[in-house]
Amino acid sequence: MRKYLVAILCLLGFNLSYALQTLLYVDYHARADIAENVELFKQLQPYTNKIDIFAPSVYVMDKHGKISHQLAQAFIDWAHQTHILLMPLVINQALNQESIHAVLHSSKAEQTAIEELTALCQKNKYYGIQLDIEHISYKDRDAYTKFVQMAAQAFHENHFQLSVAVVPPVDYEQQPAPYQFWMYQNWVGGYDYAKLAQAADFISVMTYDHHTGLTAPGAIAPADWIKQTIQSLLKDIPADKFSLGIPAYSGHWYTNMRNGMPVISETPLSYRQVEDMVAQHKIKLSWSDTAKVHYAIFINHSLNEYVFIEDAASFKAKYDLARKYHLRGISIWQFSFSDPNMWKVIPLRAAQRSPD
Amino acid sequence: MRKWISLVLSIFSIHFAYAFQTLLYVDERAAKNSSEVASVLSQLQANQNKITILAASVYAVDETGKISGGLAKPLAKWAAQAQIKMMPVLVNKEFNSTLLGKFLANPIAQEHTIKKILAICEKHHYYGLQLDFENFPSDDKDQYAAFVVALAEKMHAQHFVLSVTVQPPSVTENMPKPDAQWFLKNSPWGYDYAKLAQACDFITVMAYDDHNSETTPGAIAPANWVRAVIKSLLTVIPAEKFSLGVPVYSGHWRSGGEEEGYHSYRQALTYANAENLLKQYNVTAQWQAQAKVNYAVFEHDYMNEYVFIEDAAAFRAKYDLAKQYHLRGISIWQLGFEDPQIWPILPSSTSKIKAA
Repeated sequence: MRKYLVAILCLLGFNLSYALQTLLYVDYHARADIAENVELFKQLQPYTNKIDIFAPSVYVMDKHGKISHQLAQAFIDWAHQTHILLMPLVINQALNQESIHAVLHSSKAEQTAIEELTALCQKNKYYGIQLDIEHISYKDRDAYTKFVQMAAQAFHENHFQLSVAVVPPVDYEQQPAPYQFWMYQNWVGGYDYAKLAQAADFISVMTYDHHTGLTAPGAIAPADWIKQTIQSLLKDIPADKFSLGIPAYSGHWYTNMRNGMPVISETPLSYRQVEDMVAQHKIKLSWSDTAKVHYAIFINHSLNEYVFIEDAASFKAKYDLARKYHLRGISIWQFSFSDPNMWKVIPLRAAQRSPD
Repeated sequence: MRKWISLVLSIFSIHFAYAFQTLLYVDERAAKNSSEVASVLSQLQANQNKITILAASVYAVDETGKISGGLAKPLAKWAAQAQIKMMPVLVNKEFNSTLLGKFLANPIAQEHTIKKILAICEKHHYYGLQLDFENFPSDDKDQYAAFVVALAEKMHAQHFVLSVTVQPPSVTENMPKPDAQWFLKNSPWGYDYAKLAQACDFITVMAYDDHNSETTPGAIAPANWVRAVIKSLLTVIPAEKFSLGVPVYSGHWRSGGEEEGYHSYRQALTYANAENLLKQYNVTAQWQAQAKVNYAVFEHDYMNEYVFIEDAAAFRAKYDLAKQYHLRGISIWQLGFEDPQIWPILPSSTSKIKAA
C-alpha cells in the first residue's frame, strides 16, 4: 500500500514539477504600427498562460556591431502586463557571413554590440537577449565563442539572461556527403556547442530546415532526425540548458522557373496556407511513421509537388521528445505559422513568473 | 450488303496495314571498338523477335560537318542475320549548342554531311539514319528544317529511311488549348514539328525527362503528361509517322552537393538498380495512379530520397497510349535499362511487315 502511495505521489510530483519552458518566437516587423500590434495581441491573448518567453525577432546587428530596429513600446508594455518574459532576438544583418566576420574580428564592434544590447535590456526591462547569429564560417568558430563568452559575462553582471540560437550539427566526419560538408563549413562549424552552452543561460537548437529547397523534399523537422540530434547534442549541451526548436511552418516543394530554366524550389507555408492548399488540390494526406509528419505528393501541371506539414500531430511528436529527454523547454518558430491545435498539446504555465 | 463488305474490308485493311514498329536504342556500347558488344549482343538475342529497328547511337557530327564514330562490326553482322533493320543515330557532337549553331549556319558543312551520310548508309547497308540533334541555339528552327528537307530528299532518292528525334513542347495536362498551341509553336527547342514530319519517314518524340535534376522528384514519363504530349503533337505529326519515345530507365533523387549546385539531383538507374535500392532500404513501391508509375520514398541518414521506377507497369501504360492513338510505334531508350517484363508486352514482329 505504501509502495503504491509513493508511486502515485512520485507520478503526481513529477507531473507538477516538470513543465517545459515554452519560448515563442514572433517574427516582428520593426515598422509594424500599433494597430497591427493590437491585432497580434488579440491573437496571442488566448495562449498567454502557456507561454514563458516571448522572443520577437527584431534587432539587427551590422558589421560595426551597431544594433538597429526597435520593438514598439506597446508590445513591451503588453508583455510586461501579461507577465511574459521578453527576450528579443538579434540577428547578423541578412544573416550575412562577411558581416558577422567583421564584427568578430573587431574588438570595437564587439564592444559596441554588447553595450548596445545591455542598454536595450536595461531600458526595456527585458529578461534578456537571444543571439541568433547564423551563417558563420567554420573558421570563425573560436571568435564567435569568445564573443558569446564576453556578452554572457556582461549580461550576467547586469542580471540579464543570454541565450544563443544554434543550427544542429551535421554528420560530416564519416565520409561527408557534399551537402553536409557545405552545411558544416558555412552554417554548423561556427558553433562550439559545449562552450556556448557553458557561457549562455540556454541554447535554442534550431532543429528544423532539415529538408530545404536545396535538398530532396521532406519533413522540415523529421522526428527520427530530431531524436538522433538530441541524443548527439546532449553530450555538449546539458538537458537543463537545451531548448528544442520546433518549427510551426510547413514546406511546399515545386518546380519553379529561373532564367528560363526549371529549378526545384521550396516555400514555407503557414498552417492556414496548408489548409487552403489541401482544399484547393483535394490533397489526400499520408502519415510518415519515421518522420511523424503528414505529407502529400500531388500533380500540378504534369509535375509533382510535395507538401510536408508541421501540424499539431507533428508538434506533439517533438514535444514528447523534449519531455522524454527532460529538456529545458521548446522554442517555437513561429507564432503566426502555427496550427491552433498545437496549443492543446502545451500545458498551462506552472507558475506565473515575474520578469525579475 | 455492299456497305457491310466494305466495312469488313476496311477493318481488315486497317489491321493489315497497322504493324507496330518497335525501335530500340543502344548507346555507345554498340560503337566500333567497344568492349561491351558481347553483352549488348546477349541482351539483344533473347528478345530479337520483338525488335523492328535497332538504333545504335554511334555517330556524331561536328561544326565542320565531319562525321565520326561507327558501329561495332559483330553487331551489324548479327542484325543482318536476325533481319533487324539497322538505323544508327547521328548526334550533334556532345549536344553542344555552339557547335550546332555553327553547323546550321554553314551550307558547305551541311552538304558535306549529307554526302557522308549517304556514303555511310550505302557502305553498311543501313535501313536508314536517325538524326538526334539537341540543344539548339534559339531561332534555328528554319535552318534545321531546311537541312532535314535536303537530307531527306537525297536519302529517299536512294531508298534510305530518315527519322529525327524531337523534344516535346512544354505542354501539360489540362492546359488550356490556346496555351498548348502557343507552346507547340514557340517551344524552346529547334523543332518545326510539322515540317520535319512532312520531310521524314517518322519522328521519335522523346517523351521523357518530365521530371529531372532541375524539377521535383517524379516520374520520368508520367502517363498523364505523355498523353498531353501525344494529343498536342498529333495536331502536327500524323499518327502513322509518330513514334513515341518510351524511357525504360528509372530516376533516383537525393540531396546534392557542390557539383550539383547544392540542390537535389536525379541519377538515372537501370531497373535492376532500382529494385536493389528498394531491397537495400526495405521499402515497397507505391503506385501513383495519375502518372501510372511505381515510386518509393526512403530515408538515408535521415534525409529523404525518392525513386520513380519505369517498370513494366509504367511501360504498359505508355504502350497502351501508343496503341490507343494508333501511333506508328515506340522508340525505347534504351537497351540494358529495362525491366525484363516489358518484353512480353511487346508484339512479336515475326510478321515483320515492311513499315512502308
